[in-house]
Amino acid sequence: MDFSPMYMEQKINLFSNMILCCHNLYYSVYTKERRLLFQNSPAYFPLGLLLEDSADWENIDLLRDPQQHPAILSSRLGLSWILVPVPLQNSCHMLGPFFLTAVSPKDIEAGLEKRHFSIQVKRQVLSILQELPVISMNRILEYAMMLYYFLYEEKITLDAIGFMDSSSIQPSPSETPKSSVTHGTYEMEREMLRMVREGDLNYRSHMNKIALTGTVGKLSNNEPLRQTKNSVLVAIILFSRAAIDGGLNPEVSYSLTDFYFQSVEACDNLADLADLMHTMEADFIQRVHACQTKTEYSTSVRSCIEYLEFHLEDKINLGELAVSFGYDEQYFSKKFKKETGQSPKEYLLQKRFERAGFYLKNTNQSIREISSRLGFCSQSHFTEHFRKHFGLTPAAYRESHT
Amino acid sequence: MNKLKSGIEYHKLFRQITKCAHDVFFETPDGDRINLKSLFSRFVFIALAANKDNLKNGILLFAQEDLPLLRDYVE
Repeated sequence: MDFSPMYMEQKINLFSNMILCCHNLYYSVYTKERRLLFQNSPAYFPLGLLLEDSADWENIDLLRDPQQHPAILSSRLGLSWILVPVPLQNSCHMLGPFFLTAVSPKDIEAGLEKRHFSIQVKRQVLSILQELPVISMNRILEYAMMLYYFLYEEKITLDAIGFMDSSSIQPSPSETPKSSVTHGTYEMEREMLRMVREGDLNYRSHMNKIALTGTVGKLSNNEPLRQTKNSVLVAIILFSRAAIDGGLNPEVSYSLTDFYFQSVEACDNLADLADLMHTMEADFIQRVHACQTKTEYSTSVRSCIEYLEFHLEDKINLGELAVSFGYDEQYFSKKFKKETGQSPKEYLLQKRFERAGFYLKNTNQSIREISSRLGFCSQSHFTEHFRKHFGLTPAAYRESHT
Repeated sequence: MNKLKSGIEYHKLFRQITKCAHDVFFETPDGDRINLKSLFSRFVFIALAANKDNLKNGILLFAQEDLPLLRDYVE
């Protein structure tokens, strides 16, 4: 790849002008030390200031990604940039700023109305605001892939695009009840849910082939982070129902839904939400795939196994569980043992010890905490059974794995 | 008169302002007061910065107590 200054300048001019044909999306190049090398915005446009005011600009390592993958950087006001690092050139190429949703500029307008600024100030703010394009996430991801190809002449897929530290957005609530932007295609949503239903492990490559069109509707009043959280929550619900259609035990699917809902609420930036979305997709699809491929167990035994694996840390009444599958406890226990070689109780204990081993190896939790978490009535009871299972006491097990 | 120095790095000024104990305002020649501690108002300030004269002719208003934090940025 030729990164010589003259060649790059010509290329950048061509590429940036092509982008400008579609959107007021400016091209800029910064050094790792945040020195501006190139920009094609008009002289009056405060591109540098908008960027410097973005989230944690001073602490961002512009060349942080050794894979050189693109990232979307979002500012506290809802402005975003596409970044592609070019370590060989000690520079970072950027496209932006832009808004990902019409909510943000409308909020700024609404905020301006409420404040007692002079007409001149309001006019000046609105003139800059009008220059900032609102571009759907799908289109931005396409631009990010194009910018990457432009710089490296290599194709990348959607999942290579990361998100850099965003933050909560503060503008006042918009009075506009809904967005006027076009919604995403129903076909694309159906295709994604089909892949969940079928437990299609190649879903990533399929998704990368689907044309991205439209955008998510307005799912929050005033916050892009809330907007993204809400869209992930909706995706979780749709995925959980498609997974049930695909054969996943409803109880497991609902439990997963609860777990991912809580995880979404715990996220405080777009990057974590994007990671969580990927994990959630993979989790549902892999579970459905496992359901459809594990044919050695009957449906009720498989459902029981899934339930037990998901509730290892909860109090489980095996009698009630058997009844929920339409059997009495004794009959179901025999059926379970015939298929798996273990009774449900033995299976549950084994899984709980495996979980205990995981915690001992990977956390600093005390043995007492672990035994209590996994439902053992006392530490000594836990230790005794653990030793029978692993041939070591929990303390010795932890010691041998550190 | 606490005019802003030319050629300052605004992200560093903003960082200093967040450390100030009291509100810090930028006052335009027309008398508009922009609270630079508010994220929203900072966007207004940035939009005004599109016209260099706005910054050149405006002044920074802050409590005397915060002067040590802002001294490097005002004339």
